[in-house]
Amino acid sequence: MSVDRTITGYGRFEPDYSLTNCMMTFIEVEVDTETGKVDLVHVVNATDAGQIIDPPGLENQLNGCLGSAGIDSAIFEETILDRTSGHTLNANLIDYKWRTFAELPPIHNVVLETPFPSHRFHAVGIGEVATSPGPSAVLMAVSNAIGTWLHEYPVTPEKVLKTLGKVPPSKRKGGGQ
Amino acid sequence: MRSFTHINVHTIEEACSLLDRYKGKAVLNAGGTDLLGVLKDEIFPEYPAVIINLKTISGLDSISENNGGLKLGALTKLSDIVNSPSIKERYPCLAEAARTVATPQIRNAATIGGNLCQDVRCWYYRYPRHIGGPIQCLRKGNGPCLAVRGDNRYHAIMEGKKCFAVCPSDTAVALAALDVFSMLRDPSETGR
Repeated sequence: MSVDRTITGYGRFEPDYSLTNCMMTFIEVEVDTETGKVDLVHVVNATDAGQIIDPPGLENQLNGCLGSAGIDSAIFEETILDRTSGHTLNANLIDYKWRTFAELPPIHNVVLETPFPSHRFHAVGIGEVATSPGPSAVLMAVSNAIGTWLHEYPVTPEKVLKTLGKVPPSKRKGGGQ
Repeated sequence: MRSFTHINVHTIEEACSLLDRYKGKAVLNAGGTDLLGVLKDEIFPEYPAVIINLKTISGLDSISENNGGLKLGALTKLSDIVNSPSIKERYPCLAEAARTVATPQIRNAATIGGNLCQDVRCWYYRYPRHIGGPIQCLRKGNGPCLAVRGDNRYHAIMEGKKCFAVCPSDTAVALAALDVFSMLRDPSETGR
């Protein structure tokens, strides 16, 4: 048996919840008023990170604004529930609509570095907050495009056409939209 | 997935005679990109005992000249159709339609015959066993069609009779537009 040369240390991570972070998202969309299709044209994210510590990591987080209850939840991502039986109808990656690499829009990220008067690094975290303003921004952009307010997402073609008055609202219970 | 017997056949006649011998307990398989999904989700009450592999039949995967047109073997891979210079030049809609199918990896394995024969994509029909299915429906011969009163946003709006699921094949649209003829072998007629 050899000599065991190890050192054991102890530490504790205490996140600081007294700091806030912020996020702004600007979205440009194109709405086809004949078919109701909404295309995402351009995304600009803006935030203040205090002190940027990991630039590629930060850019990755900001580029992740599309998924995970972000922008795409307002455009096509939706878990569809069958109202009569309670089954989730699209519990697979074919029927659940999600963005492919062929459809990524240009995403520009603006990050300010105003030092926060806090602990040593003067930094705040940016991560999941990158997705937060997305859905509201999409609703505002689509409403701005068609001239009437939309209050429900995802803004599928049916919803856009109903808001435009081109399709009568459905009166059926138990399924569809 | 449950276990099954896998048989490689080398001629169409062999495949037909095996289908005849196993009488409904055997299924044909080419690229397997649709069949394996159906088997893994266990949407049917009966699982096939035998899978007959058609990939070992030679001569069915080529694109050749035929009286001024083109003849495609049923086992021609979709990626070959996408990249074929003669199809891109003379029938570009077919090459474009084949290019929209699935992903490049699937197109490398999938065949044009399989793309045309794929099972429907109704989400009631395809509801997998492992999340509380399968759902019995009219197409499966057991119960009513659930899409009639349910969520039918992707189902047929014209000419549905009993089942309202549409043909999900992208290449079928291009082939229908090109007025294509296909030659089928009926397994019960052993002479053909």
